Amino acid sequence: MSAYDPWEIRLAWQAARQIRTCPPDHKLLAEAVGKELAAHLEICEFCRDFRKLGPVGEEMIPMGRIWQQEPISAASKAPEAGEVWSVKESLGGWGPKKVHYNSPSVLVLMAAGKPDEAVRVAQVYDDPRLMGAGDLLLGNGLFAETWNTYTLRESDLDHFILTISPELLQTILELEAEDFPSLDDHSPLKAFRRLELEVGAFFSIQAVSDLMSRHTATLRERLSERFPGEAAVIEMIRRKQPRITWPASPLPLMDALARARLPDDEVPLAASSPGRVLSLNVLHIHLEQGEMFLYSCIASISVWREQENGFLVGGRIQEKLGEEAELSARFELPDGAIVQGEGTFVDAETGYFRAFFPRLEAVGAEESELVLLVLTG
Amino acid sequence: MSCPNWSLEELNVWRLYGRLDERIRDLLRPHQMSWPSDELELAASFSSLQRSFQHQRRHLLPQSLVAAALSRPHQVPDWAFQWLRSQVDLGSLGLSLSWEIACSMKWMLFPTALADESRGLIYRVLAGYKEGAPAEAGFPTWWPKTADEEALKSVRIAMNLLGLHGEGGFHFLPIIPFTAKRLFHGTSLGLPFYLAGYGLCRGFAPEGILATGGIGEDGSLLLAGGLPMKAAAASGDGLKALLCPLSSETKTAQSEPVERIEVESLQEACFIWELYKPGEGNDLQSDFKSMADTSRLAANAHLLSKRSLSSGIVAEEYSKKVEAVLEDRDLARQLLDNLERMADSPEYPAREMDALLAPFSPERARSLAAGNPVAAFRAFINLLLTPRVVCDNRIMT
Repeated sequence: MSAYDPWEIRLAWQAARQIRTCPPDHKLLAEAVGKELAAHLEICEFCRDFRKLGPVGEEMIPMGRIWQQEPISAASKAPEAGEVWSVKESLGGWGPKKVHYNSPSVLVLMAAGKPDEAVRVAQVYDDPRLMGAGDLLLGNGLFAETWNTYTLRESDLDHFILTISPELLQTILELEAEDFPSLDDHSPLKAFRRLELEVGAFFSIQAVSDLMSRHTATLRERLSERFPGEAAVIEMIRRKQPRITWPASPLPLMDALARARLPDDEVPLAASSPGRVLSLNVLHIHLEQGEMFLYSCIASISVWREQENGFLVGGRIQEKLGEEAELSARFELPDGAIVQGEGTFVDAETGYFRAFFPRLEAVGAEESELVLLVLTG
Repeated sequence: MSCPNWSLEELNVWRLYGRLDERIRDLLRPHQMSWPSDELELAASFSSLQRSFQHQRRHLLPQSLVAAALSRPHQVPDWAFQWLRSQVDLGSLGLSLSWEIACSMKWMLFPTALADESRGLIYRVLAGYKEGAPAEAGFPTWWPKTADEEALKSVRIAMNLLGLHGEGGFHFLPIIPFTAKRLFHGTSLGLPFYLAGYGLCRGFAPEGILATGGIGEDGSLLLAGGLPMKAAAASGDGLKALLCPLSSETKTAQSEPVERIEVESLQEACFIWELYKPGEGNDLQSDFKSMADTSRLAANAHLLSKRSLSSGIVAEEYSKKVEAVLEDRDLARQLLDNLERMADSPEYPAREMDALLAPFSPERARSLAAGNPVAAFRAFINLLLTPRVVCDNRIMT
């Protein structure tokens, strides 16, 4: 049960509507009334009054609007999970329903894996009167909407506002997965949530369509496009490199490539080293020429430990890779079970790599075999 | 397996892929850091990594670099030292020291263990010693926020006991992930802090050994908890032994991943701490017990380990104990029987024989001959007839 009177919530909802969907002053007070503004003025009495009264009317603007205009501290840092950021004002604009979608603030739930990659966020609002199930206070009156999470580009974020504790972030992540009781269709809270989802969708659609257009097919995808049929790839390598010993039983292509045995005189051996090293296969693909070459190289291991409900492995491939590279990694357990690496990366420029094996413990890792395969091109 | 090295370049790549948080544990292991190849790389990596850390994590990288530089100065390129001095303010890490003073001190990193019912963690502490300075211990300004009252008290007691030596001052910098969170609980920090200080005073810093346990104000040892978890954490961290007060807590399995060395006194702990080499813990304990008891020494002097016999402090103590043994006819006979047997054995190494016979000086011969001429005669005949021992004029006079 809300601690606020219905009229307070209704007032807060009206303010939210203005904050989220009324155009900024420079557009609203522009001399020339464009098509979108004219349409908006038809449906929005606040903007009609504001435009009529001019700056005098500013005193009547609810607090929410003023908060949005307050300067917030800027920081030249990459957004991290647990930080509240504003979304760039320039991304706001006229949208459906004759309204102007203004950029909200968001809580970063998952930071970008690479610069300007996707960040997952929860939308944030600043009037606790509109809080309900699934909303969590962050501080400074801000609350996160765990029911309204979406994807943005890292570059969509503008100014850093505040950081929340890791514990609070964890709670939000847990709440995100929950379902909440539905609200009365005619309640201001329900209307507010509908609006918030529309706002989130407006910004997320821009980000997702851009991210999708930027997505290039992986090397693996391009390999299978260029050489349909897994046998064709092995056959091609076999023709050029007849001394390779292939696994006796048929395996999926990536497993066969990882398990292929190069002739002993082509396998580099590690000189005596205090650290752990392992040997792995690298498939160098020249797609344009329609050629590929399988070779073996050494990787030195710099991370080998249990971490966060799994086993983390990292290290460096001791061989120059092509311009791009992909890693597949798995542990083969003594009982034949396979634990596939997740969130793997290999940096083509430096050769540093990472793989995480969920629910694998240190003892299991020590008794198992780590099999790595790098595709590069 | 021993923990591998890490580098700033590598962490920087992990940062680019959004995985820097997974490498925070590495920043807590400064001794395993590989220095960048040049100043440009150090400055660029430092700056981009620092920008990526949230405020409460910004101490991690400078603290790690400072600890790596001070604890292993011979491994630090000159340019890296200069860069650190110009870029990192020790005061910002909570150390009330200038770089100039810090560089004139002796430093070491020692491990401490924390454990609960389900897991153990190893954190290192950078410890510095300034000879001739007032006998005080300096801690970072945030130290009281990270340790509970028991932990603070246990370290205070350790410092008070060290202060009895009154030869210099200490500075400590725990290398921990947060400087505003309570991480240290209980009394188990007393022993590792004491041993680190003791080692620094005497000029040694053992590697591969973790100490845990409390110290009472009278110097008695207090039990430590969570030993199986601490042993597992020590093993995961590449440590080889766990030194702790003798407890009734049994080992969880025969194959505990590190050598557990349980000691009965602070003196024994110091003895092990000073002489420890991986795999030699049990021998050292046996040596300590032999040295503490003249009967045991008479019976077992020839069994003293090579490690102990080659140590200066043991030689001094051994010499004193031999004097006591020789005052007792039966013990003297037993000791000389054993020494003669070893002297006759072609397998017994010459260097150890030298060490065992070292206390038999001309002065001691004269005093021994007055009360126990047979023992004196046997001792020196033994010396003369031992071909591997270099006879010098000590014996002939």
